[in-house]
Amino acid sequence: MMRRWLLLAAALIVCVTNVVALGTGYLNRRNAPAGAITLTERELRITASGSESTATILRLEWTSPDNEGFPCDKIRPLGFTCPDRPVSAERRVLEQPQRNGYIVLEYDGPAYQRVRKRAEALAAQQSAENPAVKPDPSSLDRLTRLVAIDVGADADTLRRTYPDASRYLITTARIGAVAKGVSVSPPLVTLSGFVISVMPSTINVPLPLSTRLRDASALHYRNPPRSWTPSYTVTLRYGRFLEPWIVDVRPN
Amino acid sequence: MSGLADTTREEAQARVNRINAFRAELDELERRGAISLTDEQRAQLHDYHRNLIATLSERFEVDRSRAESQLSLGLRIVSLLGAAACTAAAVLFFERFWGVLSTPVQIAVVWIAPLAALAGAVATARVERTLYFTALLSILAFGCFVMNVYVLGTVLNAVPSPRAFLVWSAFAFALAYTWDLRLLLAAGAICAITFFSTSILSWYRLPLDVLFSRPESVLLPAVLIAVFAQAEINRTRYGFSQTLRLAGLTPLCLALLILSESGTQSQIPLATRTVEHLYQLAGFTLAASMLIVGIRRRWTETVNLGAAFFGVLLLLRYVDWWWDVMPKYVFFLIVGITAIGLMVLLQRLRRSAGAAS
Repeated sequence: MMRRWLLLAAALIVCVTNVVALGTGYLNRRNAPAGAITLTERELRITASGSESTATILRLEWTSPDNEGFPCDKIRPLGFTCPDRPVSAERRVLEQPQRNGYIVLEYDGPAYQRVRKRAEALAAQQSAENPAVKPDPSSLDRLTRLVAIDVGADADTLRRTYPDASRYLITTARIGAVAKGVSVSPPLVTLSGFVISVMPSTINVPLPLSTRLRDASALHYRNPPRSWTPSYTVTLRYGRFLEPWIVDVRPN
Repeated sequence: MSGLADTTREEAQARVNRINAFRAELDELERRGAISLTDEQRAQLHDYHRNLIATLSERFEVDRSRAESQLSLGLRIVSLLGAAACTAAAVLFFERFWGVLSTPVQIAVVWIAPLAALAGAVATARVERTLYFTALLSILAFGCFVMNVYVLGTVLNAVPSPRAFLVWSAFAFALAYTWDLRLLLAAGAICAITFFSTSILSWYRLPLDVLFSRPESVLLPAVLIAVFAQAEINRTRYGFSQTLRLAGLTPLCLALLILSESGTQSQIPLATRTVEHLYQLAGFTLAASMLIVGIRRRWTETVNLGAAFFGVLLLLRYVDWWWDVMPKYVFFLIVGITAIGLMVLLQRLRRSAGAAS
């Protein structure tokens, strides 16, 4: 008798798990608070998911605005213990685990212009130091235009600060606190926050959008334009639980 | 045969093993002249054992000889390998055709897969008593359910959640208690520990894989699993208490080992060295407790794990204290002398346990 109940429980666990997961997915997409954002191949690249896999998966590419990181007042709300003033480099407070939070990724805005200028300056400097090295102009064109500009502990607060969903993408992220030296003698450091990864970092492309995406990518590969341009644009939406889904794919 | 109503397969097998040992010892005693049975007595005893073994064999499919026992072990190993291979085949098959299936079909396939394997396990359990094929299909059902949840997460682009470990644990436990499957019991226990520890981490906004660098979250759930091993429901099932004790105590020992070596991974707001010393003390106390309790209660697996944990802890302390300050041959000599001392101590404990029994 008990065996029968246990088997029924096992079957119920499978069914309830699927129903709850699909229900959560439905709730995520229904009345999604944020509008859509249209990104290109620069920000969403096709990634391999196993040699035999036929799945089409896109990886969200983003970058940091500079090497400074986010200051203490930005990362404290995430739970980091950030010292008010520089501390000795041996303090235990400097070794803190990464934490989950929310980040704002600005698309093709002033932060990207700064990143681009810095990359151009670096390329010019490298070619000045070594004239044999010719900068590849397409490498700058391939740069992602999504730049992490803000972090916070509450996604709704961030959305109120950055209401334009077509320019600002808010997602869950993993943030780490890294010690940064401020003086050598005595060795003093402070903490800065850096985005380690976004969650989810990959996005599943369902049929028939996956066919359109692969066709666009293959066509671009067969007939490459003279200067590099993205082969597709993808319209993406983030739901109320910050779980994304692809709304549309268009070849360029 | 009377008195077999509540007998389990493991108890039946133990009875057959005792009969075989008794027969061998009786032959030896007769050869040495220590005892002499009449032909009638010998025939009576032989008939009784033969009938009993035949009954047990028919009812429980027990191994009647050493050769059968070895073949059974082989069957268990092949069953495990078969389950692993079938699970890998199911996952890779799905991965291979994922791209040509629409989302509703993907969800339907991964939803049905564990239920189909479960139905297969129910069907085989009705026709076999040894449950080798049932075990294989149960492990396959568990593997398919893991794939089911993973695929749902991927299709919905969901953020990783500890709840996945809760449902995996519940499913593994349900199958383990249905057919007394120890491997799934261990899987369920490990998933339960992971669920509780990652839930604690989630409350503190820590990513799930920080589990390995914040091992304190493992301590409480691991202890709870080790305590749960003593519950009545486990003591009445062959090998369940041992499996759960190992599944609980192994992560507990590993967590203490990591914390005793790397105090920075602790959440305790004390100096790193102080934290390490506290966990070293806790580690030695746990190892000693496992040895003492294990010997007293005849928990072989606990004694073995405790001895191994004690040895590793001691070796690490020695390295910490002496590796840089003494010639290497002296260091290893001290390690060897300590091992001999431990052997003497364990032998005395063994003798006193034997005398007490």
